Amino acid sequence: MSDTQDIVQGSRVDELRKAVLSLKLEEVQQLVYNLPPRPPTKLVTIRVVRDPQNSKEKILQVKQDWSSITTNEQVAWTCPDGRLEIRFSRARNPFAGDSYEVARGGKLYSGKPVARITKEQAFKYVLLVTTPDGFFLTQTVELKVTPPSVPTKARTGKSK
Amino acid sequence: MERVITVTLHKDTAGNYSLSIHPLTVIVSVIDEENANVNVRWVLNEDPTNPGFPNARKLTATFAQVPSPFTITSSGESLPAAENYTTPASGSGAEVATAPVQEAAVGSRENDIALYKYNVVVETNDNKTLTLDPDVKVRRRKITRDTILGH
Repeated sequence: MSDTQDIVQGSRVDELRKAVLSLKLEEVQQLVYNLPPRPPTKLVTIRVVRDPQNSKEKILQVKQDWSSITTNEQVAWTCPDGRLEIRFSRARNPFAGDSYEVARGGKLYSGKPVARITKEQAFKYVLLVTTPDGFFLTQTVELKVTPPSVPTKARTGKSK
Repeated sequence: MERVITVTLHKDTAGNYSLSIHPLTVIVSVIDEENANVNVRWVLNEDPTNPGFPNARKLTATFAQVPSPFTITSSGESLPAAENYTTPASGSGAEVATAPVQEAAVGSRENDIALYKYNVVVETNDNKTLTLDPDVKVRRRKITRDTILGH
């Protein structure tokens, strides 16, 4: 390769490098690892709180500001108060797997539902939390999955 | 930011498996150059051209020695025996993420570095188990875009 070709290629590499370095950190990583776009994610936060009925007992409090996911979305679960496990029934599960586990403060991503959903369906699953001080707490929760929303057709009302 | 570690399952037509991971040693810091917390996310991939796709069933990342860089500890609390991150494989990529890197994971001097060994296990639908022993390298100096391009 001639000196001129070297210089041209070098300047193009520099330009490319500058362009990459002008991106956000997350975008650089997306580019470098060729990651597919992530589906929209709905968060569930599980906290360990005192039972209002009996202050000596601890219970799980599930916080989520949504009622269902569509088949184009996924769920992320996190528990800042202990190790979290998620169990779905193998026979009745919207996702590809039935068992998830993460250390305290980590986050589990369900992936998009793989079950064929033609109308809203509810799936029960179990949350299991082990706190650092040795409490083991469980709660059964319901997840609703709906088909992707279909754009409503414009109404062509007949005039009387 | 979330540092991504991709774990890829390979299979040949004779039914042999292999596992690759990138990066083998992920570099993290307590905060990045944008002063955001840093954590790690594992993503399990499988080439759709693998014979019998999909073959992967489950991904587990385990820190046998705790505290790991991500272990949240409070005074008076006992540490778990090990720290597991487990997710089933799914068509769109199985993913599991840690808590942020903890302040105590590395010394306070600018040049301090700490290495943490962990293992990654991928189980397949035909009950094969593949294991790798990668590392997390925690440095006090903030990670930058250059860090990601390099590793």
